[in-house]
Amino acid sequence: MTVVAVGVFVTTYLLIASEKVNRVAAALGGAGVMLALGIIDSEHAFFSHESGIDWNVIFLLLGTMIIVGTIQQTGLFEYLAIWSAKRARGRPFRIMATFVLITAIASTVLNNVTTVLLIAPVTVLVCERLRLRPVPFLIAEVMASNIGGIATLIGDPPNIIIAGRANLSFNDFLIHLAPLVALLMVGYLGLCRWLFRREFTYRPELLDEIMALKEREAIRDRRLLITSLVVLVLVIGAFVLSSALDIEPSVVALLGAGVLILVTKITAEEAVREVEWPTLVFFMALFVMVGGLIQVGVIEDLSRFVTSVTAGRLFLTTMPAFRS
Amino acid sequence: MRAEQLAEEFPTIGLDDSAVAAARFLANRCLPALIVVDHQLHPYAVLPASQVLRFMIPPYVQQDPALAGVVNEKAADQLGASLSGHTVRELLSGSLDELPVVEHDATAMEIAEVMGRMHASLVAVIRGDILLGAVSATRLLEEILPQ
Repeated sequence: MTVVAVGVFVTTYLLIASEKVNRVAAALGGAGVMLALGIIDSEHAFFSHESGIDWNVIFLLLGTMIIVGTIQQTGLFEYLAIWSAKRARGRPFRIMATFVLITAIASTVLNNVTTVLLIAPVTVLVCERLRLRPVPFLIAEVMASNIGGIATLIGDPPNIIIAGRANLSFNDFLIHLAPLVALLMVGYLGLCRWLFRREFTYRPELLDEIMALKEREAIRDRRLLITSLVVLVLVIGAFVLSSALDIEPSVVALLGAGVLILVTKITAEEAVREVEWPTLVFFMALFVMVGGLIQVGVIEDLSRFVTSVTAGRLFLTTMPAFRS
Repeated sequence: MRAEQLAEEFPTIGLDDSAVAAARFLANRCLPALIVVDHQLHPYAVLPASQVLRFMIPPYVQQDPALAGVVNEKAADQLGASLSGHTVRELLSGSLDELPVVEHDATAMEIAEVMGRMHASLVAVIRGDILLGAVSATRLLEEILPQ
């Protein structure tokens, strides 16, 4: 059974990596095969804390996606990006630096993909006005989003999964990783300055084009913006206090999402429309497949093997995680 | 009433004709859409005026509609320039899921169903591969409303 389980997992992984099959379809297929072959039964897949779907992760993602989906409708990002481009007086590197910082800070609470999707259109607009190539700016933002996402428990789905499995709190992530991310960002901005040095041609004659942009027009619903920001601040406060109050982050996220729907004019249908359902289904299927590997003992054998090869040295033991 | 009785002769445009020509055609004759034909003059698509406008909008505004209001009036007035150098085929890219086409014997109900489902203001009427004409939403309304 072990060989079959590994075979199903590796085949599914290759299908996902090759992108020949939709990743959700591949993961669901793999999970279905594991269940059908009895590698893992439905009791373990759906109800076991050790080897089943981690519902804390799924509901934390669901709650944050609803909150993020509402905030992205406010136009806050567009406002901040255009405002900062104006303050930078159209100077390319200053614009890149502010966009990179906005992206990284936003990624600490928003999903990376969402953050980039929010900042990318306004980046292209600003670059078009200044006759600059948008690609270096977009690359810089993608990297910044990945760096920023490391800082908090909710910044990136892997953080949520690691926190769930290792029993790490929101503050554990914040205290240990946020300072590191701040340092990384300083170095990263220097790297951007050097990497894209040929792209920063400043043309003062184009400044008027940036100054003519009307950032206030991006705010579509002022009341929604204020309400969403208040709820977001409360949710982040609750995340910080979650371990002291003994509340799971998933409960905080769901409460925040519920409150946001209640206090804004957004309907529940509109709120759940912004949820990335394929991502949630993908994670559920992955949990089932990993649960299958746990059931047949592959994960235990693997961890024993890694520990024996590295002789229990922490740094070397974490290397496979870096490689992933 | 069948589609062939409702169909009116309607201007057509070729797939590789210029996008500017198509837009001028629509504007000068106040048409809601154009029928696009392939090299054998078979109906290929219906090009609504709204699709031409959509093509003019920069991709970043399509992705983030909030940016439409951010651009000043002078820049917004230059939208039309984005059509030059493009063809009708390019105007249609990404909008060809299904054609608003009915067979010659389709009833008013069938035509209305196609228009309603596809949000089309114009439906091409065919017999086999041959284009007979088109039925506009206003023509259909005129026909089906009680006198």
